[in-house]
Amino acid sequence: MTETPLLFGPDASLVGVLTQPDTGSASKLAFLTFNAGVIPRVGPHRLNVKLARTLARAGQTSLRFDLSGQGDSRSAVGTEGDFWDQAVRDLRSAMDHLEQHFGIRHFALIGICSGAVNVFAAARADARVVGLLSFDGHWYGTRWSRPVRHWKRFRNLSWAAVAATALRRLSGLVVEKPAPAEGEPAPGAAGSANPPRAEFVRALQALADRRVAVFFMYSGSSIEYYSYAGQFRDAFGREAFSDQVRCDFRPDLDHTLISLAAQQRMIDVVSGWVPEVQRASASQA
Amino acid sequence: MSMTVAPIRPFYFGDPQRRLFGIFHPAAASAAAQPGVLLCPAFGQEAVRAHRMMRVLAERLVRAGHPVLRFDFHGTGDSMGDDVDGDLHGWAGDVLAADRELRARSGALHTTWIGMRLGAAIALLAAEQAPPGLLRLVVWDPVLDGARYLQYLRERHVAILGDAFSVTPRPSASERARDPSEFQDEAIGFALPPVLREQVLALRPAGRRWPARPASIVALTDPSDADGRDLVAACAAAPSRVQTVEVRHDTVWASDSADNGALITAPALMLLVKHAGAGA
Repeated sequence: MTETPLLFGPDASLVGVLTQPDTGSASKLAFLTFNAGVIPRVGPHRLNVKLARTLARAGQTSLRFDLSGQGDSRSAVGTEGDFWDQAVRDLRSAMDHLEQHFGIRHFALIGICSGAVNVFAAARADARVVGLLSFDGHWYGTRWSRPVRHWKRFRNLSWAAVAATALRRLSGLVVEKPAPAEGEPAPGAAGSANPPRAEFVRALQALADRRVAVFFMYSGSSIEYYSYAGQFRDAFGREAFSDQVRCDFRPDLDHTLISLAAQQRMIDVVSGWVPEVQRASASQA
Repeated sequence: MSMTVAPIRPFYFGDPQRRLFGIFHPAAASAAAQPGVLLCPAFGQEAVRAHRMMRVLAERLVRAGHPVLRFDFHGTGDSMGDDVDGDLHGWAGDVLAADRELRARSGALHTTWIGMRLGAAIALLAAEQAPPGLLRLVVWDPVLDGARYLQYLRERHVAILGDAFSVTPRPSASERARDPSEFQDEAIGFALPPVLREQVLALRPAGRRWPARPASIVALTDPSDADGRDLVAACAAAPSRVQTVEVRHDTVWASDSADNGALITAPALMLLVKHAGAGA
């Protein structure tokens, strides 16, 4: 395994570390990881580093890097648009650099928290993307989302807590928080609303038509948005793409993977996803 | 006066079996030459939350004429090694290796080390073998009482884990924490291997010995908390070359990654830049 620091993008303003396996043969596919919210490129609790080294041991190349203005990368100068537009530009800069200097033509993007929104936008914008993993990204509710959420919360309460809540309700001290609407942002992605459902369907269908390995994951920190395993299937089961999109609900994982056990489970999930990405890449060779 | 700031240079350095990741910030071209400054980061989640603080500090130091090296200890950040490799003595060796690298890259004959939290404790340990050119050691909220620090990390770990899920798993983190053997080997996402744990536990404020070098040690601390009071007491009993500087702040570095709290502590930033200079 070799790790190489890279400076790339406009004015070499973006900072990253390329991790390559010791296989000797040139990679045609690379995994990209980057910031989750304001966390530097090493990822939540250094997950991106651990993931890169696990992928390298499995023969995969990856780049972890900082978006403009995050971590060690300089802020973008003279570009138009907001943070979300710039993130897509930065992801494409990373792809450009790896294509020009390492001959890599296909990319799988892994996005956590706000990064989940970024990878979806970048996959739509760039045909070199053959895989995207969105962890706690865009979400769409169903008629079951809210009752399931309430049931899960209720069944977890102790009898003492149930009695206390009932008393507070009777006394008018509890005002129920309204359920989030679909137009609200993805978890942890303030400032970026979910696309309207029809646009999301069109975008997913386009990715499915390109045979991109699309993988949505939702954690146990986000049941306000995604409350049960079948929510995605219930929301989009009638769409043509529904069998081509993977969606896992992982209530055992939290949004930033705080425990070492949660980090290892996430690494195992990504490792298990690699063959799906490789098949997507091979189908576009 | 116009000031040209050269681009940063990320690189790996050191022993091939222990490659360390560093970012070198060349000094601004037109600024008066100042000692090189080595930044020793905090540990675990505190280091992640303080990353921007360290970057901004480096940029300010560069504008004040200092070449700066930031680096990651072995098994942390982008450096080689795993979480479970944590070892205070090994990390003290990393400080010495980084100091040599800073001098080689910048040509500086003299250096100042700035250490934050556990990074400050490591810098103090490394100073026992400090090279003659080390002019000053600046420690910010250093970990002096290892037992209290581990207890604090455990409390933060339990609190953050307790808030992490929409539906609290049973048993909850706080219920599990009633068992003293729980949460001994990890803290807010980072491993606490037994060797490191024992070494940190051995850090005690009472009767601490200050390293013979450098000639000047500056301790920035908040006297409103127990750690700060211990530090002031330890410094009061120290030789006159050890001085304390008060910096009050309410930044909690051991906070969750999704926390929207402050990432920069402005008063500390100004004082750290001021005291990095040889003439401060």
